[in-house]
Amino acid sequence: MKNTIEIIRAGIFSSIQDLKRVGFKKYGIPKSGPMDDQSHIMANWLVGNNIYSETIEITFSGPKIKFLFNTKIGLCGVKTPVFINDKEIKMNKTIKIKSGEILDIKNCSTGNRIYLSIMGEMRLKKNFNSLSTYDKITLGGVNGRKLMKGDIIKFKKKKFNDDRFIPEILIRNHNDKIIRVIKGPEYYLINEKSINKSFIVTSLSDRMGIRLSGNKIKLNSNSGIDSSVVYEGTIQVPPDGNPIVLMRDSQTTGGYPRIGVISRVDISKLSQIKFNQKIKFKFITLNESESLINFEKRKFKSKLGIDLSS
Amino acid sequence: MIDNIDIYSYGDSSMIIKSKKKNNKDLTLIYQALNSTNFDGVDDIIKTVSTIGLIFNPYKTKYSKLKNQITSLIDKINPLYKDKDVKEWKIPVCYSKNYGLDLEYLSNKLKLSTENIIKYHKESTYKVSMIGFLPGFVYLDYNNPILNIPRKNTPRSSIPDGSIAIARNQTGIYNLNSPGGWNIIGKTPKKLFNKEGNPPIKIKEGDIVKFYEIDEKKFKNISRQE
Repeated sequence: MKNTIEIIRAGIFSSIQDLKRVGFKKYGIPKSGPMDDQSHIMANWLVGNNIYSETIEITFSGPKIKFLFNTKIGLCGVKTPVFINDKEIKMNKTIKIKSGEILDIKNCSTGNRIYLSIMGEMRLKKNFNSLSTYDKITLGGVNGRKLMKGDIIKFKKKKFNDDRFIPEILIRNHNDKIIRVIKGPEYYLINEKSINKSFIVTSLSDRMGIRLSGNKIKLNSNSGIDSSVVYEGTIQVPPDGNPIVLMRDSQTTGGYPRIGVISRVDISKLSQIKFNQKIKFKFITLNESESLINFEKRKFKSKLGIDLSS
Repeated sequence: MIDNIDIYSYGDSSMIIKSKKKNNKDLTLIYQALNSTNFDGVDDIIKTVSTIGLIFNPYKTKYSKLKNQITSLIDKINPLYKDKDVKEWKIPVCYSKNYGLDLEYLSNKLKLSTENIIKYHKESTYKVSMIGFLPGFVYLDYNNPILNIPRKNTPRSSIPDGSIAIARNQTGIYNLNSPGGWNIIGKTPKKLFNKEGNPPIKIKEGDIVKFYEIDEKKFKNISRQE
């Protein structure tokens, strides 16, 4: 078939994600979207797609994909061996791929996810304005689910003549495990010392939330709060004391104390930290977080010409 | 003028508006005003029981700027402004034991016959306090101390869609199959959430809900039409 790709092997959890499901939380619909949105944006930039467009989010172990048209691809995220017809290719740069060639993405090594952008537009059905996969209620993706062997995705072609690469300064150092946090509305419910120790990322984590262990946080009151708004980056403490950091598929409201919120610029970093690895929280002020956001905005503008406020 | 409003930041991408007054009529007025105004960078406006949460894109706007805009909007709200289109919904519920999975448990806990539990439940009038947590989950408030019961200690891993359940002073409608800890007293055959619809759910915050009882036969008839 013309202008399509075919999934030969799906990988553990490969799903289509974009940044477009905005404004539906009032119906309880999560935003979804890429866990590591910085890598998603850069992958799209490599092939000239809009930064809000869809990529394939690949988790732990990658897919094998046959291309049935000539196009360009981009791969960003954690370092992962990738091959086209058994020849290893580089991440973080624009790659040409020809009709008939097979892209083979192996295991993610230093983190959890890698993003594959494909020049053009996927011709799939949108739900709530977006192609983001949310399999709990079968939204977006291919029939509302992760990719499966045999799936065929059709593309609307476009032209993009440049070859691009991501400058070194924008490639994350995955040894950094310090996560910056702003105090949350119920911060007063915890003992300050209890949050200064390190936490372990557990394998119960998923796109909805990252579950931590190794350091139970004691709450001064066990009463919980009225169900209130929650969003990605929020650190909730349930009665058992093991914090949960809400991620992109976060529910829209919650009743557990919100003791902190991860700085917007560090959510991507947290999403890439592997199971059983340790993280530490560092508290910063709202002003400091806004400076980090501005710094990131300037970096994307000056190095890639991307306007994050577009 | 609307006063006694608290506005505070929540992380770098959200702002919370809270009324210090007990009744939250002011909050409803603010919610309506927010929904009819466009603020650059605001992605979501969510009304919960006692607060309004705004979620914004921190690359497009920031808390201090938004706070100024919203404070001046609140100053302009006419507190006498009468509401909008509050709708009243009548929802059929089958309270049979096949659907009211926790009726007997509740009967023991509350020391009430299941007939009485059903009677109190269907004779109450409910106000939609919020929609959220899960897609299409409807929170209904009512003032009936008789049916005040905590959530179950161990949540069910799967609650069938359409289930009507109670916890604390609220009734919830599980419009989608999901895990949950509320006590199930019945099920509606009505499909109130439709992911293809715009909006996906027509019941909205502030609306009034009443339940009426149907038997299993009627339940099946309505189910077929939905």
